[in-house]
Amino acid sequence: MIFDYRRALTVLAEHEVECIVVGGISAILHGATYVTFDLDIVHRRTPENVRRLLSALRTLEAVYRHDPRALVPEESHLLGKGHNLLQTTCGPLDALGEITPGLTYDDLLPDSEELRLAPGTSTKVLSLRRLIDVKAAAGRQKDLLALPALRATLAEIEKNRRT
Amino acid sequence: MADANEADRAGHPDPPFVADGIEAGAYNEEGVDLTLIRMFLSMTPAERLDAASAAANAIYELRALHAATPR
Repeated sequence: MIFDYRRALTVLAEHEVECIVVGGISAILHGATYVTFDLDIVHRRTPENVRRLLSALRTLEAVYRHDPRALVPEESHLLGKGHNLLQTTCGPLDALGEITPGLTYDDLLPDSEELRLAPGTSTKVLSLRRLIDVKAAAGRQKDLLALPALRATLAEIEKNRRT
Repeated sequence: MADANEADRAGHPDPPFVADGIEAGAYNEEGVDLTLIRMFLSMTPAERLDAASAAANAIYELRALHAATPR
C-alpha cells in the first residue's frame, strides 16, 4: 500500500469535487504533528457533486475496504449520510456524508479554509479551531488524546499572527 | 585580532544555550513538544502532506517487515 495524500487531494481538486478535509489530515495541513493512515473528507451531497466525486474515485481506483468483494462506490452510496470507507491507489480515503450525526458539508463550510497545494490547486480544510471543537464534542478517547497537540498548534499559529 | 563570534556576542548577546529541552522550555504545560510544531509550521501545506505520507509509508513498511520476520 502507498500513502500519497497530496495526490489524492490533487485528483479531487482536478475533478472539482466540493469537499472539506477533516480529521487527521486537516490537522496536519494546519501544521499539527500527527500521524494518520487515512484521508477523511466530507463531501457536498448534491447529485452533480457526487458524480464529480465518483469520477475522482474512479481515477483513484476506490473500492470499499471493509468488504472482500472490492465493491466500487456508487452514486446512491455517496448521496447518503454514511461513512464510505474506501481503499484507493493513494491509501485509505473516507468519504463522509456527515462527519457526526447532522453535521454536513454545508454546516462546516463557513468554518473551512482554502489551502494551496500547488499553483492552481487548492483544497478546503476544516479550520483548526472548529476541528478542536468537533473532536472535543466527539469525546472519543482517540480524539481527546489529540487535543493537546491541536491546541498547542493553534496557540503557536495565533502567536505568530500577533508578531 | 578579536574573535568574530566573541565580538558579535558582545554586540548582540545570545541567551545562554540550554541543552536540556525541559529546561529550555521546549514543551508546553501539556507536554507537547513545541519545537516539532514550529518545524511543521515552517513547511508549506504540500510539504506537510508529503511528510505525513512519508511517515505513514515508513510505519506501514516497518509493520510489514516485522510481520515477515520469522520468530
